[in-house]
Amino acid sequence: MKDKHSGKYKAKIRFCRLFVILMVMIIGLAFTGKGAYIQSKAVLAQGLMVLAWQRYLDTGEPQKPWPWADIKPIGKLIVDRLQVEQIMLDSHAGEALAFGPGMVRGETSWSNTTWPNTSLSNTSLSNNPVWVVAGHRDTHFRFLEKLLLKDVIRLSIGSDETGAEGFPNDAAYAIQSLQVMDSRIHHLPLNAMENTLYLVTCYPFNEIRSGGPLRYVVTATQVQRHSLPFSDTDNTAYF
Amino acid sequence: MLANSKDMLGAVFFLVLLIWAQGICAETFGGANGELMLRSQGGKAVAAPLLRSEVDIDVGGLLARVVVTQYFKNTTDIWMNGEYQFPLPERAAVDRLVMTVGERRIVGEIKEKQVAKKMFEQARRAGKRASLVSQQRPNLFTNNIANIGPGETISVEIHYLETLDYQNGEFSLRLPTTITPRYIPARSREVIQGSELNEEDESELNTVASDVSVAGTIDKNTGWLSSTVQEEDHLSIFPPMTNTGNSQTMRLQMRIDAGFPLEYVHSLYHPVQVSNTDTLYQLQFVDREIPMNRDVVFRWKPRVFGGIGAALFKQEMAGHDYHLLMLLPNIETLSQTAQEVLPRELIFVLDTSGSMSGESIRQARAALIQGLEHLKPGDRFNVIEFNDQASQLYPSAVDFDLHYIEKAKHYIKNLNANGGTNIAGALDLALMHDASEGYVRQIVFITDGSVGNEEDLFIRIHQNLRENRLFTVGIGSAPNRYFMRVAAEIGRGSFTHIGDVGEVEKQMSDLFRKLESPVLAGLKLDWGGADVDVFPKRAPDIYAGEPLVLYLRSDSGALKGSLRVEGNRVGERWQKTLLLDIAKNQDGVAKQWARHKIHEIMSPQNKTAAEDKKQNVLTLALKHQLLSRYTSFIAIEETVTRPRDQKSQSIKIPNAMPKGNTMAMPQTATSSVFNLIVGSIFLILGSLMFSFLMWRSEPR
Repeated sequence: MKDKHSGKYKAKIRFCRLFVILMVMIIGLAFTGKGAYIQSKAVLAQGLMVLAWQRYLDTGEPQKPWPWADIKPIGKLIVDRLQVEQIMLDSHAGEALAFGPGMVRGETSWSNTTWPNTSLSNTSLSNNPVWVVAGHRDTHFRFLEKLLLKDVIRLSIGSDETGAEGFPNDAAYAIQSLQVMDSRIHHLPLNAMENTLYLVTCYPFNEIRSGGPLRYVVTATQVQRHSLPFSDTDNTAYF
Repeated sequence: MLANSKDMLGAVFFLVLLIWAQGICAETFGGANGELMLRSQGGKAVAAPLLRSEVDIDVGGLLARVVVTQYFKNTTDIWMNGEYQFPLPERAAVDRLVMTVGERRIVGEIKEKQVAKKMFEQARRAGKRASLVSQQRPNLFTNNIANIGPGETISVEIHYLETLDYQNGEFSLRLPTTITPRYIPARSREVIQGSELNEEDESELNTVASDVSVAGTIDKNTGWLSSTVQEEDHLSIFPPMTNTGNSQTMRLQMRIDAGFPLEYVHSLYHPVQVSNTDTLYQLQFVDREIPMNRDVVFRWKPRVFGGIGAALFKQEMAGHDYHLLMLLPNIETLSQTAQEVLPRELIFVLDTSGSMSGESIRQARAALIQGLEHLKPGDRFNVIEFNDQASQLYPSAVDFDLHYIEKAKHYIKNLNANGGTNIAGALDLALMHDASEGYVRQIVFITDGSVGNEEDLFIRIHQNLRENRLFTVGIGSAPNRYFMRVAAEIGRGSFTHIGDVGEVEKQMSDLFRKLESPVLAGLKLDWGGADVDVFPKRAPDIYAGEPLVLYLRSDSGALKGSLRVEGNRVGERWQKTLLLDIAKNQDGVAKQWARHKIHEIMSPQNKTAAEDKKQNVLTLALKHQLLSRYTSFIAIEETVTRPRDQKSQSIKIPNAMPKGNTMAMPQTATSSVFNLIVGSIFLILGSLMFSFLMWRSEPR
């Protein structure tokens, strides 16, 4: 009993408490810091990406947004109604999506096929009938929640001059469906009767934890072509 | 005490947060069980009626009697109208429709297509349950179901008859389950997009249940090929597609009463249980239910010494005798001198359009490389690939040479699938040249046939074929067999289907056996002067392992005695006589005859005026109770069930995407929100603890 009232003991207790509080605060800061880091990285990277994209348009050469980057900008995704303008990346592998929405490459399950073709030199809207673009629901693709049927999404893959074989590389897509799919059961169709753009993000939007099985899939089909690069028989058709 | 209250405070805080988070998560619109959810403009979720199919197959003689029952379950609390497009075998004779609601069975009637459509629309608006089944293509049908009540299940039985396939001593039967999306050339598509919505549909079509823009909005696609088709094709052939692996399922019961023991019976892609008593075999899926993303194929081989020589079935109906004849020429057994092979010029055509991507292009590449390996010294060959455009490997066919073949293999291995399906361009390129002197020119066309302008292509083949022979090779889980079978028929070749990489070798060697052994051509039939209406009108060329199948109609008793078939093969005469008394009675022969007559009338070789074609088909179809391009089956309930004050929502029921045509979805969320929330909790907790500590030490 005596010891309990001694000043030394009190100070020790007080120190311990302060120490615990400090630890809690540090853990809190670490978590918020990491969360904030992901969020700010997403914003910052887009800024650098815009610059790299502009350099690409100017030079016609693929440009890295920063010297050690393993990703390249590949195109621009625009939704006028929501004032969304994002630079797409040529990859969707792990880290890449932290910097922007990424184009989905072929997965191991069909490794023999090289669809979609993502080498910049022959990326054009014409030789890829189907585009799949994935983004994080809590950063870049948050806006998917606000998309409505018939909204128009524009895709720009460089200027007309830089497009392979002079293909026009701008296209507009109108949204045909907004679906929630279970990625354990559903897969994205690669067959397209028309040029199709899929935007994929995780679902539900407000889910706190990552890694769930649900996906929000926006399906849009192309609504216009600026011009056709060539024309011969009337039966020749283009996607 | 102090520690406890602190803990409790934290726990309570955490709990509150958790509940809040859970609440947000629960604010979703389902979909967790894999059911396809579709969101309407207002953000309201609507689930397409669930579909389950049951199939009952009875095989007897050369015919299969199939009953497909489609169960449509409305899982929502509103009234629904469903539209479901489904495939049936291209030679199916659909002759009965029964709609079942609860205990009531309503038998459908055959009506002229337009009349049936009107009746259906009236019933739909009046609030009566109804089902309308109509044909869009000979292998593609639509079932419209009106007024499925909330939580209710309506089942629709579709009965059809089909002639079995017999090749290389083996019977086979195919049950298509889904549709490979069709490619429509731009020219036709423009017309479609310009077409108007049907007025009454517009009001109820506010939910776009389709992945494909045009699919949701077309009603009249008269634009189909306005130059050749004068009749309005009122339905779209764009089905919405879904990637559901599990939500559309099929069950099956099959009985084979072959009359002789079977060497084997198996299912190509789905494991089956087989049990038999004597010569009656019963089959069902091991898994009970299978996903509807891949055609079901059964094959069985009768244990008959030396194979089947001939089979003859007969049905008497309304003053006519109908016969179904199958005859095996067994040309392999002909004399050795006739076995000599003419040098060939082989043109391989490969479809590299977008619909072939994934599994299909792999099968196609494997098939093509197999094909190259079958070439022999003295042959000539070339390779054409096509998507939007057709291009050929060599400017003209080259001689057999290892260097050329290696180059071709390398070229094929690097072909990828994307772009459109411009089959017309490829056909033109392949049919542009004639065979070099002394060569037989054979075109091996490898495709999934996902085209919508079949009729146009048939005419093209018919007009440009000359002395070429067209052999179609179908690829994929659900190819357009109608296109490929008819193209081969018009191209005077044969049709081979490869549904799996594992089948490539066997199927390609079977095909090459056909290509190598000269055909039995110039077939003539002699039945002693009786007036006989026979289909096919022009006897086809018969390749190795193939039977001659004929459908005959004659006046009662007119056809008797014997039937002589003769033809020639590399200059050698071949003939066979068959006694007609051996005919066994079998129901369905008359319907099969009518089905083939309709097919003949509709074919591009038949030059009758379109209006007469329509009239002839209509008369036949109504007489034999058959579904056709101009006739539909309709079943309508007598009573009105939907209350006047409630509206019904129209929705398209999607088809399962064929197996092998899909890709997995990536992981698309970071832990940033989780981190922020957990971090904030700790920060708040820390500051609470701190202020509590300050407050405690204050009084001293």
